[in-house]
Amino acid sequence: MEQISHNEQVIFRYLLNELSEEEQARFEEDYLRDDSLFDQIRALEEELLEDYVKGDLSGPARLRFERHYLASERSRERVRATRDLIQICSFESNARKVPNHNLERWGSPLGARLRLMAKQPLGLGLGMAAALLLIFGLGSAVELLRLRMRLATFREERAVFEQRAYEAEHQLAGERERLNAERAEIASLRERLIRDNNQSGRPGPERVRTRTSANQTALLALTQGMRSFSRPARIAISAGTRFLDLQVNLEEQEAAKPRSYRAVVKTVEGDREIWIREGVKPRRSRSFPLVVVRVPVDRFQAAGKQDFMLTLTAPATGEKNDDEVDILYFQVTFK
Amino acid sequence: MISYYRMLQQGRGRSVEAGAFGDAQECQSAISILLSKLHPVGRVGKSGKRNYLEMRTWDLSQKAFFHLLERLDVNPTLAGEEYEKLRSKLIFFFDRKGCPIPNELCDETINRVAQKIGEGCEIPDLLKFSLGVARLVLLEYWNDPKKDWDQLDEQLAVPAIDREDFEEQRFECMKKCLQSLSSEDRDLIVKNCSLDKNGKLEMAATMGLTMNALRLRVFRIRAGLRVCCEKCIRARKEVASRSRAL
Repeated sequence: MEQISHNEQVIFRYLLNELSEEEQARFEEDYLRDDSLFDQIRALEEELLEDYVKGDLSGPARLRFERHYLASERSRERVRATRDLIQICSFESNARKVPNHNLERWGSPLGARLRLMAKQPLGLGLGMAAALLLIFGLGSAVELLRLRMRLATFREERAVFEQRAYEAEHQLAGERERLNAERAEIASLRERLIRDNNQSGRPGPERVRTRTSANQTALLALTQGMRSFSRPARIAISAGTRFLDLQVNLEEQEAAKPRSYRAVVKTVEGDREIWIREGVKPRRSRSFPLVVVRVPVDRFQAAGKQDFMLTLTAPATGEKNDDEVDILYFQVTFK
Repeated sequence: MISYYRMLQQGRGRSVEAGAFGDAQECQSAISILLSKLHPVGRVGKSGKRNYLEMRTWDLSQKAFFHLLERLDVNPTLAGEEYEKLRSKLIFFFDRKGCPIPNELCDETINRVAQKIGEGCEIPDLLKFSLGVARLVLLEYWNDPKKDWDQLDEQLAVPAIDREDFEEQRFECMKKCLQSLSSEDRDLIVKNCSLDKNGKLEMAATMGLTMNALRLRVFRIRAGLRVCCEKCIRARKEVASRSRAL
């Protein structure tokens, strides 16, 4: 097996999901190859669990741990097991320090000093007081540890609830996206149908290109590479519509370089930005990649214009400039 | 592998929870003796009575599995060890990705890899290939509409009394297993738990070890402790279910 060196910081960052995707991929390949690295990770993982249970993690690290590490039931179970072990060890350790609370058997230098003091008439009282203080201190330490563990339990439970809420939100967002993608696909199919109809001489109503629905969202399909400034795509928004989904059908080559986009909607006249969205991820319909940008209709109303343009750019990597994917023109009117 | 052998006889996958330990006691085949500590390979979505996933799952033939073992090492014993290592690493991978069923997805990954080897695919780097398959399986899992919502519901539905009972058992088993360690190992674990970072550094220096070496030593003892604890809980469960049956 190969020996690959990684410092502890990298391992901790991996465990707390702080590495970039590329770093993560490299790191995963490394530990799959290197048994000793894998053991080291598992050992550091134990330490991380222990630090969390003892309350020794710093604020941000604790948050990361709760959000990421406690996401799975398996990890939560390990936290509980670590908590048990620490609790048992602390009892064991205290029992060793004060076996049966018999002060005469103390072996520590402090114990020896107390025993000496106890031989003196005045020292007897002082020795006893010191011993009592020590017992009290130990009791407090145990209590403190117990409280810390309870706090860790509460934190853990809170993290579980947060995680569940997050997952539910995630699922909802996923469902919404799926619905939008399906809508977009239907719209694009209609658009194709119109195109085919036009080619075969049958009338193709413009309204098929656009669609407003009863559920307060309208959809306008745009196609990359067709900068039809003279004949922009049009949509008439009916009253009650709250959002306009701008679906951009991307060229096939975009599918080869999956990346997220920055979408900016501007007025053609005055070049005024009315809506920006970062990190728009492309989806794959049955036949081509597409992105959907949802814009609140009131932004168009507030702009007081009819002509708009949607600029899609892909963020730069390294020293390159942002890659402008396309500018698409469209018109929005209100019924 | 033993369970895998039995699985072939039964003609379907099985839950991973049953574990290889029990299987080792049951199966007498020569293969099982050779590979007696291997975990079984199962099918995704076949945990217990329910089908959790809609994603396409692959069945595994005996031949394909043997090809995989051969690819891992020509010596069957070493191949078994390599298989277990790969399995634990893949489980860790899925677990770190926040997946709630890492064992099942690991089995699915291994099934697919073995299948490819069985089909005679040229795989120059088996580990890299396995990781690639694991990523694909994970992606399919995240895109699976059925996913784990059922499982989440099940977890929520666990009665508080059962959980308390389980936690009490785990605590008792942990105590028992800690006591069963050699005094040297027990001391190390107890000290390690009660010391802070600087204390641990001092302890490592006193023992003539680097911090990393000490950490690994503690980790290995704890891994043994965990195995002991799992066995103890399983045994207690069996006793409880037997007494309930009586």
